[in-house]
Amino acid sequence: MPVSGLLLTLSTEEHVAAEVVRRLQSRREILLGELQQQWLPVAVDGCDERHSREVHDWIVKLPGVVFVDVVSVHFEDGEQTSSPHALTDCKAA
Amino acid sequence: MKMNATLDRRELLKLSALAGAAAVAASRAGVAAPVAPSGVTAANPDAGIKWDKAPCRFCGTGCHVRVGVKEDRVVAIEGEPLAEVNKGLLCVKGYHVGLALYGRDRLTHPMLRKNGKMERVSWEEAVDVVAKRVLAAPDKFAIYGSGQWTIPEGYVANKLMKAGLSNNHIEPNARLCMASAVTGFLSVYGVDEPAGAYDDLDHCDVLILWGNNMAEMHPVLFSRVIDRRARGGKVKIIDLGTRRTRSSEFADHYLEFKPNGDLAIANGIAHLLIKNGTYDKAFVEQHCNFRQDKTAASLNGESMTFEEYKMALAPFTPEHVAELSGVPAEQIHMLADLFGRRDLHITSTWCMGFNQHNRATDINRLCHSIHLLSGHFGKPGDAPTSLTGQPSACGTAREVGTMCHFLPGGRLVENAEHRAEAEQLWNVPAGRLKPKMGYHTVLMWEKFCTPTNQGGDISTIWVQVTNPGQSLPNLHKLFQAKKGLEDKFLIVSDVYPTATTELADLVLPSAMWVEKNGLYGNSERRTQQWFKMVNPPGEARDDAWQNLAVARRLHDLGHPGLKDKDGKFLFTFQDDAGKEVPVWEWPRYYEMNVDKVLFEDYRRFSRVKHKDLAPYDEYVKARGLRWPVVQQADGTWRETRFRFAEFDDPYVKKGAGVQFYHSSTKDDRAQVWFAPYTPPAEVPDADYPFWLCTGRVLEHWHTGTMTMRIPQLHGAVPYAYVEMHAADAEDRDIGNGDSVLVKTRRGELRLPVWVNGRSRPPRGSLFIPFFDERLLCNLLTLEVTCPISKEPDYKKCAATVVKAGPQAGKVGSI
Repeated sequence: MPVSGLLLTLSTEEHVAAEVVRRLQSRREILLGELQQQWLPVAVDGCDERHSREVHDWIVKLPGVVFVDVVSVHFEDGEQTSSPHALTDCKAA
Repeated sequence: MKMNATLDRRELLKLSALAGAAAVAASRAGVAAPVAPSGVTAANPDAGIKWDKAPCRFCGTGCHVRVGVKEDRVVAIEGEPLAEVNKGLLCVKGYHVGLALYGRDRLTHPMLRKNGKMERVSWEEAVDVVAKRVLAAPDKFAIYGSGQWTIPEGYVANKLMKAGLSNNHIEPNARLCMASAVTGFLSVYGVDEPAGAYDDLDHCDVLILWGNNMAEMHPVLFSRVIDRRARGGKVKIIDLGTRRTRSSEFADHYLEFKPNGDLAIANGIAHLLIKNGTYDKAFVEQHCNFRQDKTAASLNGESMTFEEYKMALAPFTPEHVAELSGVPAEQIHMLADLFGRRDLHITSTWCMGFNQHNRATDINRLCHSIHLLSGHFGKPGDAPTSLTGQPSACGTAREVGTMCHFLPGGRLVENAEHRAEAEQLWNVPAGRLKPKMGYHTVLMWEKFCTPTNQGGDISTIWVQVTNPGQSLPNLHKLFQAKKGLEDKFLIVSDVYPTATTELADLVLPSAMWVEKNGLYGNSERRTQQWFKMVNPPGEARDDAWQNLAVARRLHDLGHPGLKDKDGKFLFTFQDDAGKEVPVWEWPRYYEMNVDKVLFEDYRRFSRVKHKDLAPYDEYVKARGLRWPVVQQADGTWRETRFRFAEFDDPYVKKGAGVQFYHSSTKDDRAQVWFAPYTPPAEVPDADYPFWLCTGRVLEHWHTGTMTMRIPQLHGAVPYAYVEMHAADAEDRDIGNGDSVLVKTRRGELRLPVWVNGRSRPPRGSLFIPFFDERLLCNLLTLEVTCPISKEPDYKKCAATVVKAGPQAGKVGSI
């Protein structure tokens, strides 16, 4: 499963940003870095792809999260990618 | 630093990811980067991963990534914090780019169609087949590449065709995406590519998105603007579009216009600037001429006076513009008032909304003209800037000149002086270069798909790094009609099976991205270099090698064009000791840096249009450099952010302020154009009552051959769909997810409906993304082109929708 590094841009209202941090801390799959003004670095480690996506979507929808930038992803343990296509004659290879 | 023995590997990855994000946070906050608890960073070799830099493989933004490699496999991707373009950030495609290499069905062996079936053949046989097809009819051979060719790859193909075979039938798929931006720049400034840079996004007070869904198509650039807002900066975003998109959600003003209404809006702004006396009179008098196409559409048109210009604009009152465009008159006033202010900096951006337009060159011209007329030009934050869709549309298609009318460095095949210069640089005999333009993309494919005895005089096309079987318009006519034409031969070099390989007679497996050396040129004139980091699978080989191998085979078979005027092979390579290396023999290819030799050969062409490139080794050190890159007195190389402006462009005369030194009128002035409004080529009627627009989505890149093989991206948007307005759906008793037939005069396609989806087409409009090869929306599109750029209009044609029964598939999940 990919481990991703995210940069969250939080609201400039301190109490709103603090609530975001509190809620993020409640999720064990999220590792928080140090808040730099309104920018908060986090690492997300989901148990599977669906879970990772759910966490990402949950973060995006949190009130007080203005924007989510992705900084990195590690997919060393990732599943092998597959083709969605019906193969052509090339399949013979 | 040694890794803490007690730290498990999973924790290491998490801390590494956190360290990367913290570094970007610190950069944004303007403080020193904190050190991660473990001391682990991306660059720390203790993580067991070797890191190197590369530009992203996908769009034209040109983000730099750090690529993590372990045991000959890409295992991690990070945003490159040292890159000015993305400052450590990536979009959802970018951070999955490494997985694009690892689809299960990579092409790994050459295959030749024999008796209707694809059979594995050796590279030797494959190269021989290509060479003999060319030799049999050199003038009926064409190469069709793309803005995904690396610069050296495109250069080899271009030189092979134009200098070797005296054949100008070479085109990139960039004809389908930014050819109109080229003709726009050429007809306004006399030279291609934007004057400004991404820095404008950091300085503008107003950002106008002209039919440009930047939030999805260039998300890292868009986040640069949103980040300014997050810091408390005031950036007004105005989104002009024919449907609501994610960009609209961030806009202060969303102005929805009818197809081709952008022509009227631009004229309406110009009209008010003059009527209100708010145009920049001093700038115009000093730096501008006026121009129009009086009779036929042409690149340079005819001159007109300011009074004639004013008269031509007179009908474009706000009320008239409102009728033509659907945008209320007060919004036209609002736009004109903004352009009329000198205390604001205004940046306009556009991409396919302008370029894939039946009046594409004209709408490009008009946007430039508003900026010139209002003086919003030549200062940071004041710029009209086109964005490209492919990683090297600028670097390879435009600068290397892989189009049918270009020679490298902005030269033209029809210009005798330019041909003579190129012949001298390539050391080929005078007269070797053919003066007649080759076939542009649509014509090339039409000729290929037309029986030979009916005038179809292209018999063999070699497709490289692109997928025309999905991306050409009106596919029945321009691609699928090849079926059954026994004397036509299609060669495809690619990394995966595609809609194009389905009709191929010969398939050649290619190396991709960091499986080879490369250079790309992005949207802001930035040339970027990377080295090979992993081996390609099976027998896949570099595209540049494929071209060189065929060139050598042609030489050995006796084609006279493959020799220069001294009788030497057209492509020679010498190692550092001066010894010739036969790099066309695959085992010898990486004995030396072939890319470096090709780039240095090409670089000699870059000066005539002041697109000066630095030596190859400078790009090795940098995260890209924007041309013109000029050597300083101390020997260092300096890039240029703002062209034509004295404060930054070394080619502007001292004291000139602004100088358009490639002016088509040879007087250092730019051309302000008038171009009238005309309706689209095909409009809805009783039989086909909807507008159909096609385009892209954030998660998939173009025809989806790479992103559809990345599970995370495939899962996010697994199928193409048709978006329509809820009221239109209700009128037809169509529910979300229902299957419908979308029909045009060219074909029909069964798709699931998405109502109130990601984008919101207005009533009477449909939108279909083109990433899904199982649902080819280009069976429906129109091949009408801009008369000047020859770029097709994929953004509007007439269609109808009929309910087709049960659900055809899931709709995109987000």
